[in-house]
Amino acid sequence: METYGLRMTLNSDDAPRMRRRGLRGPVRAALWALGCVVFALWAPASAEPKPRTTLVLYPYHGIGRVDVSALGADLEVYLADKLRNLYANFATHPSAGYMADLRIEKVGVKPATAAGLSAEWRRLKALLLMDGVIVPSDGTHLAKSSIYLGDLGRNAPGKPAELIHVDLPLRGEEYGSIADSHSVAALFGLALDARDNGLPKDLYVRLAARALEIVDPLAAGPAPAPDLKRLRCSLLAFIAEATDTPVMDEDC
Amino acid sequence: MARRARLASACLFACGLVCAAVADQRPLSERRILVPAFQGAGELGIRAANVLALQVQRTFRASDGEQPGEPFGRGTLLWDPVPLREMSYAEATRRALGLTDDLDLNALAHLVLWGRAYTLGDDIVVQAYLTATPVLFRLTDPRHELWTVAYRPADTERSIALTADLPSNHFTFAPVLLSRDLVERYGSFSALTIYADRAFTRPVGKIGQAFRALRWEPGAVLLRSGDVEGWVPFPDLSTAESEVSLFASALFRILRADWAGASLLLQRVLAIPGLPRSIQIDALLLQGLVEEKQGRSGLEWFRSAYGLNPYRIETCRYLVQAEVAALARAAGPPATAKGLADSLARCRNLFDPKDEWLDHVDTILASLRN
Repeated sequence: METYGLRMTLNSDDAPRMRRRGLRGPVRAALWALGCVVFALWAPASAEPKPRTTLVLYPYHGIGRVDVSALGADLEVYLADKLRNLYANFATHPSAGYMADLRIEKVGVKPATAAGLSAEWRRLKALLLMDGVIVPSDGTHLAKSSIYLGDLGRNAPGKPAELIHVDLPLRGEEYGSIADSHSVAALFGLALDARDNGLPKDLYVRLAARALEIVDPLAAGPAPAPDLKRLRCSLLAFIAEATDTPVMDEDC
Repeated sequence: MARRARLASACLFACGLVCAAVADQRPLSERRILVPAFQGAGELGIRAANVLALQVQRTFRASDGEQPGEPFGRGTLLWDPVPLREMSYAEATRRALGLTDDLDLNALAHLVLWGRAYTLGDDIVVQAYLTATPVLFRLTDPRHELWTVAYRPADTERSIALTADLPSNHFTFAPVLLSRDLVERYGSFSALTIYADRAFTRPVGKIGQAFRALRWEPGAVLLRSGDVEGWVPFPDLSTAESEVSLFASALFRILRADWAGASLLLQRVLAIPGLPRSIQIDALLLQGLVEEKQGRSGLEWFRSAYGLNPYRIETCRYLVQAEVAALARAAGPPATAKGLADSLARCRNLFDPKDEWLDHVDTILASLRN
C-alpha cells in the first residue's frame, strides 16, 4: 500500500509542483531514478503479502539401472494431484483464497549443491522443492524422497531438518504415505509462510493442525523417518508458539 | 457433434427412492451426489468410478422402515462418463455447479466423489476425494446436517444459539486397492442386460441411460429402466467395500437426515484399520453429530476426536458445543459449568478472537458463572 502511495505522490500531488518549479531534463530523470531506487529498496518490506504458492517437483530418477519412467511418472502425477488439492480443506476460510493458486511446477534439473538449492528456492519463490530417486529393494522399489523448505524450514521453531528425507516402498498402498510426507511439509510450509505474511492466526494454526494430523501416524509407524519425527516436533513447537499454549509431548 | 454425442451418452441415472408424500408433512427435498468418471488410462477411470458409484448408490434408502412414508426424501446419484478436466477441488466444484463448457447435465450436486485410478501390477489403485459443494452450503434449505444448540440462560427470555457446520468441506481418502477382475466387470452401464428373474435366465431389456433401483440384494439389484423392470447382476460390490464408499454414503445419509443409517455406516468406517487420521477424526465428529441429532450426547465421540487432534478447530467446536448441549439438556439448574469452562480454556486460542460462535459461548459461560 505504501509503495502504491509513493507512486501516487510522484504522479499527482508533487509532480505538478515540480513542473511549476521548472524541474526538467536531467534533474527530473535523477529524481525518477531516485524514486525507483527507493521503490526497489522499500518494496520488499512494504508490499502486500505475497504468500508462496509454487511447489517445485524435480523428476523422480532411477538408480541402479532401474527403469522408472512409468513408476516415476505415476508417482509424480499422484503427488501433483494431492498437493494441488491441499488447499481444499481451507477453501472456505476468508483469508485462504490465495491458496487456490497452489501449483506444481515441474523443473528439469535439481541443483547439485545445498547452496544451489537455496538459490533455486529463492529464485523460484517456491514454497518447497521436492525430488526423489527410485531404487530396487527386496524385489520391489523404494521411493527415496527429499523435501526442501528453504528459509521457511531454517527459521521454523524446533529446527526441523533442512532437507527432509523420507524412504517408502513404492507400492500402491504406500502411495498415500509418500504423498502424506510431502503434504505435511507443504502444509507446514504454508503455515510458516502465512504467519510470515501476517495472515490470520486461525488460518496458520489450522494449516499446522492439519499437518500434525497427517504426520502423527507417519511418525508413530514401525520405522518412522527420523526427519518426519523432527518435523512433527517442529510443528508442535510452532502451534505452541502460535497459540501460546504449552505442548506436552514425550517424543519432543 | 462430438459434444452432442457426449451429451447424448452422458448417463444420468436417478436412483432416487420415490419422492412421495410424507406423513409428517416435512418438506420434501432431494440430495444429489455426482460421480464423474475418474481419470485413468483407457476405460480404467470409468470402471473404477462405476464400482464406487454403485457401492454408494446401494446404501440409499428413503425410509428406515420405522417411520411412516419416506422421510429421507429423494437421493440421486448422477453419473458422468467424462472425467474432470483437471484433478482439482475447483474443477470438481465447477462440475457440481454445471459450470463447464462441454457438459450441461443440468444437475447441481451437493457432493462430488472424484479422483484418479492407476494400474499397479494386478491391482487398481484408486485415489478418491469427496467434496461438499456450494450447492450444499449456499443453495440448500433446510440443511439437515447443521447442528444447532439453543441454550437459554437462567432468568432470561432469549436463547443463545450455537451452530456447527460439517467438520470439513473436503475429504481426502487413502488410496484404495480394487482388484482388476472387479473393475473389469463394471464397464458401461447402458449395455447391461435386465433379466426378468433373479437367476438371470430371461433377458427383458437393457439398462439404458437411467434407472431407478428398487431393491438391492447381494450380487444383484431389482430396478426399473423406462417401462422395463427386472434384475441386473452386480457381483462382488460388497466384498470390495472401502472407506471411500462407506464414508461417502454415510455423509450422504447425513445430508438426508438419515441419522441411524449414517451411524451404521460410520461405525463400519471407524472399524477399518489404518484409516487416515483426518478421515478418522471426521468420522468421529460425524458420529457424535448423529448422536446429538438423535437427542443423545455425542461427547464421547467428540472427546475421541479431540484426543486425536486437539489443535483442530472443528474438534474443539464440536466438543465445546456438546458441553453446551449437555447443559441445555440437563433438567433443572446446571450443577457446574466446569466441563465447558475447561474445554473452552483448552480451545480458545485456536479461534479468531472475533469469532461470533466463540463470543456466544463466552456469553453462555458468563451466564453460568453469575
